[in-house]
Amino acid sequence: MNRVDLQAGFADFLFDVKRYWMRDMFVSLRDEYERLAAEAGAATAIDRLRAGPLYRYFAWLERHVQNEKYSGRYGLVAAIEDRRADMEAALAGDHGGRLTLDPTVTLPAYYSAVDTHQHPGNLAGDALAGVVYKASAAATQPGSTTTYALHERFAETLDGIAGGHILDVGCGFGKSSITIARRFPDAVVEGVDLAAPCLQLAALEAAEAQTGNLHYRQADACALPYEAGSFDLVSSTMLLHELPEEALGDFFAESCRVLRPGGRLVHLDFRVDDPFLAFLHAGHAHRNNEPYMAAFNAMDVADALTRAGFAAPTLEPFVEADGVDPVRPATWRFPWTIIAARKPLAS
Amino acid sequence: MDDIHAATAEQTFFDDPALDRMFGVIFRIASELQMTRLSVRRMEALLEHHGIALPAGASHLPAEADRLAADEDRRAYVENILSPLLGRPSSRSAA
Repeated sequence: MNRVDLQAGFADFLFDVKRYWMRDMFVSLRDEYERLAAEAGAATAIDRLRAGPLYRYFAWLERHVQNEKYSGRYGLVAAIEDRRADMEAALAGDHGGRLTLDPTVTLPAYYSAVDTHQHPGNLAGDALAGVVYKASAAATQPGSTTTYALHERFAETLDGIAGGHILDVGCGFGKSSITIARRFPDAVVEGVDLAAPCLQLAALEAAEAQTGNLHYRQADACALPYEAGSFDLVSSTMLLHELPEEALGDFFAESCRVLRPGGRLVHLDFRVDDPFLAFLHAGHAHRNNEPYMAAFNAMDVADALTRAGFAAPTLEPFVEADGVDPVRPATWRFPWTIIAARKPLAS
Repeated sequence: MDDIHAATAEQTFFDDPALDRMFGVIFRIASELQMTRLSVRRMEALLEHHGIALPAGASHLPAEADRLAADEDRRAYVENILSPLLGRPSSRSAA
């Protein structure tokens, strides 16, 4: 077998391990939790679960399957090297005016100190980090997040409120932005992110798809380079939980500033209340190098939005696929939630 | 808000970190075994269809039916190596 076949075979293996982890191990863990909770209550059940062998193996596998996906002998980082020169050449340029990089943008310490998702060097540490990130995202979770279906479903929720100018913040390699641009072809969509390597891939793919209403810009969510009142909608997908609370407050304030009066804020992120699912969610955050995820789950987001100037904040569960039970899911899943608010007409 | 630093040691999940490391060795051996199983499977398919050795660096892609069978075989392999982690008894023991 050649190297490409070996790496594909290894990816298939890890995918099946993750599938077993998501289904069999998750269900066994949930059954054990429910048995313990019936005996001794939720808090004691969590303590006993944490100390038991099943949870320890569950945690170990979650951590190390992700590590192997990136960093093992057949991992994504090694796999990319054979194609480095060609890919770097393809990513260069502004892709028909679709990309504006800003070399003065500095990465905040909260962003650069930790390798998010166990991605070596993080999302801006290498010219091909966006390519690796996209490959990782496609292999993260058997099921709902392996295609654009999740993003298409989210984009559908923006019908009637998107308006003509949309800002998609923390757009990464553009999966959310290009989906929104396709859903609203008459709107102008601006995607922003800190990571130049991700934006370069996003712009390349927008150019290849000949998407004419989408532009990417390197920028910090806490210092958006736009005039006040520039947008009808500010959106994000899986950004909020990556920000520490102070940065989150700054981002909300900036979002309110760049929105026109009456403009809408809509984020797809994670929130969970159930003790068992919240326990796994916090564990996932730690194991996946996402240090602000647990704190975000605990914070009063509605209050933070109100303090930033928004009105009518809402948090609603988002079901990523038909048939999913968000209360007692049959497999491990992210606790998807839509967090929305409106800028008052007079502010 | 910037008060965060990278950890200097890998996370551990067992009381004895030696177990974490040993499980890592076991997992990588299982990974390599799967890669070997995949290679052997492809070699067998090639020999069955052509009766010739695989040229160095070449890729023999199995037919759809063989690919589906390989997918099923790999899932069964994963279930077999991981199922002991669930701690379920295969037979009834005395209390």
